[in-house]
Amino acid sequence: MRKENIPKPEFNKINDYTWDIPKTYKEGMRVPARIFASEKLLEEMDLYVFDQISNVASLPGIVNRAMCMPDGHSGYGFPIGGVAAFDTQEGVISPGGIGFDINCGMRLITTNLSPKDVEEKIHEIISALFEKVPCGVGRKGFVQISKEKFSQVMQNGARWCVENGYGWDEDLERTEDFGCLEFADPSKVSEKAIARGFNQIGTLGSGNHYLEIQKADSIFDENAAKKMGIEEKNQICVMIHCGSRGFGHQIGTDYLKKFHKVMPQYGIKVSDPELACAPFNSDEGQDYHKAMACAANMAFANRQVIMHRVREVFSEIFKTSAEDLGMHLVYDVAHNTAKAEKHKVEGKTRELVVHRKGATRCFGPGREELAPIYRDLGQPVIIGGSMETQSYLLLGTEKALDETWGSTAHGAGRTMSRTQAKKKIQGKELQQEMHKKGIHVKAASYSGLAEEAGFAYKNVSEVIEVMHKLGISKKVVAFKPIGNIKG
Amino acid sequence: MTFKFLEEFATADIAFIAEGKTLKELFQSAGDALIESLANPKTVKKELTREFTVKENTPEDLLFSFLEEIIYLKDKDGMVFNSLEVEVDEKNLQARAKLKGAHIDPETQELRNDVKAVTMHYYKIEKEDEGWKTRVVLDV
Repeated sequence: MRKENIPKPEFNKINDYTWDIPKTYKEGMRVPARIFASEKLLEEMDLYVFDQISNVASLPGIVNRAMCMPDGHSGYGFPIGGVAAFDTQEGVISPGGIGFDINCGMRLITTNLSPKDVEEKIHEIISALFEKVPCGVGRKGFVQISKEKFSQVMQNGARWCVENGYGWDEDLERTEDFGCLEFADPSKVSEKAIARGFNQIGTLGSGNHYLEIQKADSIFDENAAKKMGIEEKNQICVMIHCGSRGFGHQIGTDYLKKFHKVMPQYGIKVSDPELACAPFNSDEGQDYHKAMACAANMAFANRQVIMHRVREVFSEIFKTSAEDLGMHLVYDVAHNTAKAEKHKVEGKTRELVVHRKGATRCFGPGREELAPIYRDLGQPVIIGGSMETQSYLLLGTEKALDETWGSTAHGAGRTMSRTQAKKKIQGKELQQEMHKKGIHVKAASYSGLAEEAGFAYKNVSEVIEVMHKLGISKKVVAFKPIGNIKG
Repeated sequence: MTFKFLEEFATADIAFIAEGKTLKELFQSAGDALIESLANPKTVKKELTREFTVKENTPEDLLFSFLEEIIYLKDKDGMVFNSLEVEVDEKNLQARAKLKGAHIDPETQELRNDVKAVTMHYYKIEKEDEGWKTRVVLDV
């Protein structure tokens, strides 16, 4: 069975929300590990999080410390919520620090509609979205292209979509990395990955992926909210959560197997097979990074075309153009990636490959990676809660660059297993309960719905509060769900 | 030929143990557990047949690749499965599988999880006195 003898670390308390696991916790740790959490969230974290993050702290070339965000829970290799930066010359890249769902991410879209406009049509909207955006097991997407054209998607991401009529020009500057990782190289991707994913553009998938209609519930920073397009309380918005589908999953699997074969030749030993890695500047490391970029671009494209579909559905139902409905993209963030970024280490600027697995980039104002519309404000950060609770729009800060390589949490984080959740409630019953709370949900699978019940997750507001109080990401708006399509 | 889903093993995902007196039985049990994770097999018709062969150097790698291939077919052909027949050549470490199933149809099938990948998370395969045993965690 799983390791049963994981010792609870003796944490060094740095402040009320920051806890360090010293290098002495486990043999082989090169740097300490740091957990960002309230005392309560720390107490609730399973011991595997500490085991896994200290394994990350043992990887070659890790800089400063391994970190876990307050929504952390055990994953494979890295815990979910794990952040670690490696020297690009001496460090490694690990698919276990990114996840199988490469560039799983969030997208937030505004409307100028009020709850009154939407509530009377909510069944119609949810049914239309459910029909038009395929979700659930192995579905084919609504964008059907040849394998040759898919190569252009791998290279150009959301840019391909806008050039082919699936979006507006302004969408790209409102997407992390302008919706395209330029270093993508399709020659590093297997035929198997392409066959698995080329017909899945425009699908949500299953698990915790969703498309949600929300209303702005609390506005914490009116000025920042307005700059991001949230004008007033109760404004209706749409949130999308999905990733690179089977395409990204296969790339993760391919390189996990490949890295296992090459680790001995680089003299790398890892304590968890899911931490298989290769030097970042090796041929294999570079190949994975370029293939990972192809999957990231597919995910940007996937969320872009789904947003386009959402605009079409709203336009049809409200008999007005999406432009007139104010359906602007606020931002699109990735929360499963590894990217080479410049950061200050002990006063010197260094290039590091920053792994974020279930963690969101949250750059503060001034970073050149941000488009001019957000460069003075900081990067918008979108955090999805469970389907029964709030979701958040946050803002990255300069402090995040000093503390977390410009990273914050990504969601609520699970506390209960899928099987346990299903035992507590049936999907149909949950659907009815949510309906009573004013949340209209349609799911591809009732068992899948039950697995995603709100009680299976941490309180997202507690997670957000930790990062807000630390000054790493600032609260701007909290949203409440009113309708949900669940994959 | 048996398998059992583990309730608390993987917080966000699916874990199971599978057993068999022989490698063939082990592969059958593990394959059945994977098929059950995708959709209720009783709701899937036997309309299409898919066959594949995998060959590796260790029983561990062979089972991993065998399960990975089923996930690949699910996405590549947009299929879920009713049943699986498997033959394992233990000497040459080669597995040959025949799957029966149908294209995904949310109207008639009880669909479950869109499994992303087989993981190496606490993955193991062991030969015991009574036969073979494995533990697998699927990313969903």
